[in-house]
Amino acid sequence: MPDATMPTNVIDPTKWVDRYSDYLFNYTIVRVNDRDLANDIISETFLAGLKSMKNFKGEASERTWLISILKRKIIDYYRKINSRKGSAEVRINYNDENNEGDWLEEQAPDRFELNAEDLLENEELGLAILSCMEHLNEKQARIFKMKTIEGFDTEAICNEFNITPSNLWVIIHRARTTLAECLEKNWF
Amino acid sequence: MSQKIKSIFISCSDSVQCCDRAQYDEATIFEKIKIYIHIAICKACREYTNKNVKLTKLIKKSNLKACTKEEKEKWEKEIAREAKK
Ligand SMILES: [Zn+2]
Repeated sequence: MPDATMPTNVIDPTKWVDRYSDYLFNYTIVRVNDRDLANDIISETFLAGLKSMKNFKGEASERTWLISILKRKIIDYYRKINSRKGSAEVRINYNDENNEGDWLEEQAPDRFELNAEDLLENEELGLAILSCMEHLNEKQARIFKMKTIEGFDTEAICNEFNITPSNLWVIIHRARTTLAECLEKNWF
Repeated sequence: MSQKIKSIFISCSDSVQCCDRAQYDEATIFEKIKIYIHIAICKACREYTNKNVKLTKLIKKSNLKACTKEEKEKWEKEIAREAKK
Protein backbone atom coordinates (compact mmCIF):
# COMPACT_ATOMS: atom_id res chain seq x y z
CA MET A 1 0.00 0.00 0.00
CA PRO A 2 2.24 2.82 -1.18
CA ASP A 3 -0.42 5.44 -0.44
CA ALA A 4 -0.36 4.68 3.24
CA THR A 5 3.37 5.17 3.64
CA MET A 6 4.64 8.39 5.13
CA PRO A 7 6.45 10.69 2.74
CA THR A 8 10.19 10.42 3.23
CA ASN A 9 10.54 14.18 3.49
CA VAL A 10 8.26 16.07 5.81
CA ILE A 11 7.88 19.80 5.90
CA ASP A 12 8.41 21.95 8.97
CA PRO A 13 8.44 25.73 8.43
CA THR A 14 9.49 26.45 12.00
CA LYS A 15 12.88 24.93 11.16
CA TRP A 16 13.39 26.57 7.78
CA VAL A 17 15.42 29.55 8.92
CA ASP A 18 17.69 27.54 11.14
CA ARG A 19 18.23 24.77 8.65
CA TYR A 20 18.26 26.47 5.28
CA SER A 21 18.68 30.22 5.48
CA ASP A 22 22.48 30.09 5.13
CA TYR A 23 22.15 27.79 2.14
CA LEU A 24 19.52 29.98 0.48
CA PHE A 25 21.54 33.08 1.30
CA ASN A 26 24.76 31.81 -0.26
CA TYR A 27 22.85 30.63 -3.29
CA THR A 28 21.23 34.04 -3.69
CA ILE A 29 24.11 36.36 -2.89
CA VAL A 30 26.29 35.17 -5.77
CA ARG A 31 23.37 35.72 -8.13
CA VAL A 32 22.13 39.12 -7.03
CA ASN A 33 25.25 40.44 -5.34
CA ASP A 34 23.39 42.66 -2.91
CA ARG A 35 22.75 41.71 0.67
CA ASP A 36 19.48 43.58 1.19
CA LEU A 37 18.09 42.36 -2.06
CA ALA A 38 19.09 38.78 -1.25
CA ASN A 39 17.31 39.12 2.10
CA ASP A 40 14.12 40.32 0.44
CA ILE A 41 14.19 37.52 -2.10
CA ILE A 42 14.64 34.96 0.69
CA SER A 43 11.71 36.49 2.62
CA GLU A 44 9.56 36.13 -0.48
CA THR A 45 10.75 32.57 -0.91
CA PHE A 46 9.80 31.55 2.62
CA LEU A 47 6.38 33.19 2.31
CA ALA A 48 5.75 31.58 -1.07
CA GLY A 49 6.83 28.27 0.45
CA LEU A 50 4.28 28.63 3.25
CA LYS A 51 1.56 29.41 0.76
CA SER A 52 2.32 26.41 -1.40
CA MET A 53 3.12 23.92 1.35
CA LYS A 54 0.28 21.70 0.24
CA ASN A 55 2.11 21.22 -3.06
CA PHE A 56 5.09 19.71 -1.28
CA LYS A 57 4.93 16.05 -2.13
CA GLY A 58 7.88 14.91 -0.07
CA GLU A 59 9.66 13.56 -3.13
CA ALA A 60 12.43 16.10 -3.05
CA SER A 61 14.10 17.25 0.14
CA GLU A 62 12.67 20.31 1.81
CA ARG A 63 15.77 22.25 0.82
CA THR A 64 15.58 21.26 -2.84
CA TRP A 65 11.96 22.33 -2.84
CA LEU A 66 12.76 25.71 -1.28
CA ILE A 67 15.60 26.22 -3.78
CA SER A 68 13.20 25.62 -6.66
CA ILE A 69 10.97 28.40 -5.29
CA LEU A 70 14.00 30.62 -4.74
CA LYS A 71 15.18 30.11 -8.33
CA ARG A 72 11.84 31.35 -9.62
CA LYS A 73 12.02 34.39 -7.36
CA ILE A 74 15.50 35.26 -8.63
CA ILE A 75 14.37 34.87 -12.22
CA ASP A 76 11.32 37.04 -11.52
CA TYR A 77 13.59 39.70 -10.11
CA TYR A 78 15.76 39.80 -13.21
CA ARG A 79 12.72 39.79 -15.47
CA LYS A 80 11.40 42.76 -13.57
CA ILE A 81 14.54 44.88 -13.74
CA ASN A 82 15.45 43.95 -17.26
CA SER A 83 13.11 42.14 -19.56
CA ARG A 84 16.05 41.22 -21.76
CA LYS A 85 17.74 39.27 -19.00
CA GLY A 86 15.95 35.96 -18.91
CA SER A 87 16.59 32.92 -16.83
CA ALA A 88 19.61 31.95 -18.87
CA GLU A 89 21.36 35.11 -17.82
CA VAL A 90 20.54 35.15 -14.18
CA ARG A 91 24.13 34.64 -13.22
CA ILE A 92 25.45 38.14 -13.32
CA ASN A 93 28.93 39.26 -14.12
CA TYR A 94 30.98 39.32 -10.96
CA ASN A 95 33.46 41.74 -12.39
CA ASP A 96 30.85 44.36 -12.99
CA GLU A 97 32.48 47.62 -11.88
CA ASN A 98 29.57 48.64 -9.69
CA ASN A 99 29.60 45.43 -7.76
CA GLU A 100 33.31 44.96 -7.40
CA GLY A 101 33.47 46.40 -3.91
CA ASP A 102 30.85 44.07 -2.48
CA TRP A 103 32.09 41.02 -4.18
CA LEU A 104 35.72 41.48 -3.26
CA GLU A 105 35.04 42.19 0.36
CA GLU A 106 37.04 39.88 2.62
CA GLN A 107 38.64 38.17 -0.30
CA ALA A 108 42.18 37.17 -0.95
CA PRO A 109 43.93 39.36 -3.54
CA ASP A 110 44.33 36.42 -5.90
CA ARG A 111 40.54 36.47 -6.34
CA PHE A 112 41.16 39.04 -9.07
CA GLU A 113 42.48 36.28 -11.23
CA LEU A 114 39.58 33.92 -10.75
CA ASN A 115 37.47 33.27 -13.78
CA ALA A 116 33.78 32.50 -13.93
CA GLU A 117 34.41 28.78 -13.83
CA ASP A 118 36.33 29.05 -10.58
CA LEU A 119 33.57 31.13 -9.09
CA LEU A 120 30.98 28.59 -10.07
CA GLU A 121 33.06 25.82 -8.59
CA ASN A 122 33.57 27.77 -5.37
CA GLU A 123 29.87 28.36 -5.09
CA GLU A 124 29.10 24.69 -5.58
CA LEU A 125 31.74 23.89 -3.00
CA GLY A 126 30.15 26.31 -0.56
CA LEU A 127 26.74 24.76 -1.06
CA ALA A 128 28.22 21.27 -0.68
CA ILE A 129 29.75 22.33 2.63
CA LEU A 130 26.42 23.74 3.82
CA SER A 131 24.52 20.63 2.82
CA CYS A 132 27.09 18.52 4.69
CA MET A 133 26.42 20.74 7.70
CA GLU A 134 22.89 19.39 7.74
CA HIS A 135 24.42 16.26 9.29
CA LEU A 136 25.27 18.29 12.37
CA ASN A 137 22.76 18.95 15.09
CA GLU A 138 21.41 22.45 15.54
CA LYS A 139 23.80 23.50 18.28
CA GLN A 140 26.86 21.97 16.63
CA ALA A 141 26.01 23.66 13.34
CA ARG A 142 25.47 27.05 14.94
CA ILE A 143 28.69 26.91 16.92
CA PHE A 144 30.67 25.66 13.98
CA LYS A 145 29.34 28.41 11.71
CA MET A 146 29.99 31.13 14.26
CA LYS A 147 33.54 29.98 14.76
CA THR A 148 34.46 29.04 11.21
CA ILE A 149 32.43 31.22 8.88
CA GLU A 150 31.71 34.27 10.99
CA GLY A 151 35.05 34.13 12.80
CA PHE A 152 33.78 34.80 16.31
CA ASP A 153 36.18 34.55 19.25
CA THR A 154 36.14 31.39 21.30
CA GLU A 155 35.24 33.49 24.32
CA ALA A 156 32.26 35.17 22.65
CA ILE A 157 30.80 31.83 21.57
CA CYS A 158 31.38 30.29 25.00
CA ASN A 159 29.50 33.19 26.59
CA GLU A 160 26.61 32.96 24.20
CA PHE A 161 26.14 29.22 24.63
CA ASN A 162 27.26 29.07 28.23
CA ILE A 163 29.92 26.44 27.54
CA THR A 164 33.60 26.11 28.41
CA PRO A 165 36.37 26.42 25.81
CA SER A 166 37.00 22.69 26.07
CA ASN A 167 33.29 22.02 25.35
CA LEU A 168 33.63 24.30 22.35
CA TRP A 169 36.66 22.46 20.98
CA VAL A 170 34.95 19.10 21.39
CA ILE A 171 32.00 20.40 19.36
CA ILE A 172 34.28 21.93 16.73
CA HIS A 173 36.22 18.69 16.50
CA ARG A 174 33.09 16.59 15.96
CA ALA A 175 31.77 19.03 13.43
CA ARG A 176 35.03 19.07 11.48
CA THR A 177 35.27 15.29 11.46
CA THR A 178 31.68 14.96 10.22
CA LEU A 179 32.19 17.57 7.54
CA ALA A 180 35.49 16.14 6.33
CA GLU A 181 33.90 12.71 5.96
CA CYS A 182 30.84 14.05 4.20
CA LEU A 183 32.88 16.18 1.79
CA GLU A 184 35.17 13.29 1.07
CA LYS A 185 32.14 11.30 -0.04
CA ASN A 186 30.38 14.05 -1.93
CA TRP A 187 32.97 16.41 -3.24
CA PHE A 188 36.16 14.61 -4.16
CA MET B 1 64.44 11.65 29.77
CA SER B 2 64.45 15.15 31.17
CA GLN B 3 61.19 17.01 31.62
CA LYS B 4 62.06 19.36 28.79
CA ILE B 5 62.59 16.60 26.24
CA LYS B 6 59.48 14.78 27.39
CA SER B 7 57.32 17.84 26.88
CA ILE B 8 57.97 17.97 23.17
CA PHE B 9 56.33 14.58 22.79
CA ILE B 10 52.58 14.92 22.96
CA SER B 11 49.74 12.41 23.02
CA CYS B 12 47.42 11.74 20.09
CA SER B 13 44.56 13.56 21.77
CA ASP B 14 46.76 16.62 22.39
CA SER B 15 47.95 16.52 18.80
CA VAL B 16 44.37 16.42 17.49
CA GLN B 17 43.29 19.19 19.82
CA CYS B 18 46.22 21.45 18.87
CA CYS B 19 45.59 20.70 15.23
CA ASP B 20 41.96 21.83 15.55
CA ARG B 21 43.03 25.05 17.25
CA ALA B 22 45.71 25.61 14.62
CA GLN B 23 42.94 25.72 11.98
CA TYR B 24 41.72 28.89 13.68
CA ASP B 25 45.18 30.36 14.29
CA GLU B 26 44.86 29.58 17.95
CA ALA B 27 47.94 27.38 18.33
CA THR B 28 51.34 28.73 19.36
CA ILE B 29 54.45 28.10 17.31
CA PHE B 30 55.70 25.75 20.00
CA GLU B 31 52.45 23.78 19.78
CA LYS B 32 52.79 23.60 16.01
CA ILE B 33 56.32 22.25 16.35
CA LYS B 34 55.00 19.58 18.72
CA ILE B 35 52.34 18.62 16.19
CA TYR B 36 55.00 18.25 13.48
CA ILE B 37 57.10 16.06 15.72
CA HIS B 38 54.08 13.95 16.63
CA ILE B 39 52.78 13.48 13.10
CA ALA B 40 56.25 12.54 11.94
CA ILE B 41 55.89 9.39 13.99
CA CYS B 42 52.10 8.89 14.15
CA LYS B 43 50.26 7.91 10.99
CA ALA B 44 46.72 8.31 12.34
CA CYS B 45 47.37 11.88 13.47
CA ARG B 46 49.17 12.64 10.22
CA GLU B 47 46.06 11.61 8.32
CA TYR B 48 43.84 13.61 10.60
CA THR B 49 46.02 16.69 10.20
CA ASN B 50 46.00 16.37 6.41
CA LYS B 51 42.22 16.10 6.33
CA ASN B 52 41.79 18.95 8.73
CA VAL B 53 44.05 21.28 6.80
CA LYS B 54 42.29 20.33 3.59
CA LEU B 55 38.93 21.14 5.15
CA THR B 56 40.20 24.55 6.23
CA LYS B 57 41.38 25.25 2.68
CA LEU B 58 38.07 24.16 1.18
CA ILE B 59 36.08 26.34 3.54
CA LYS B 60 38.29 29.34 2.73
CA LYS B 61 37.99 28.67 -0.96
CA SER B 62 34.21 28.39 -0.81
CA ASN B 63 33.90 31.97 0.43
CA LEU B 64 30.83 31.01 2.42
CA LYS B 65 28.88 33.77 4.07
CA ALA B 66 26.59 33.46 7.04
CA CYS B 67 23.37 35.28 7.73
CA THR B 68 23.35 37.46 10.81
CA LYS B 69 21.24 36.70 13.85
CA GLU B 70 19.10 39.74 13.06
CA GLU B 71 18.42 38.55 9.54
CA LYS B 72 17.41 35.14 10.80
CA GLU B 73 15.16 36.58 13.48
CA LYS B 74 13.44 38.73 10.89
CA TRP B 75 12.67 35.71 8.69
CA GLU B 76 11.51 33.69 11.66
CA LYS B 77 9.06 36.44 12.63
CA GLU B 78 7.78 36.70 9.08
CA ILE B 79 7.23 32.97 8.85
CA ALA B 80 5.49 32.85 12.23
CA ARG B 81 3.24 35.76 11.28
CA GLU B 82 2.33 34.23 7.94
CA ALA B 83 1.78 30.77 9.41
CA LYS B 84 -0.83 32.20 11.79
CA LYS B 85 -2.95 33.51 8.93
ZN1 LIG C 1 48.83 10.42 17.17
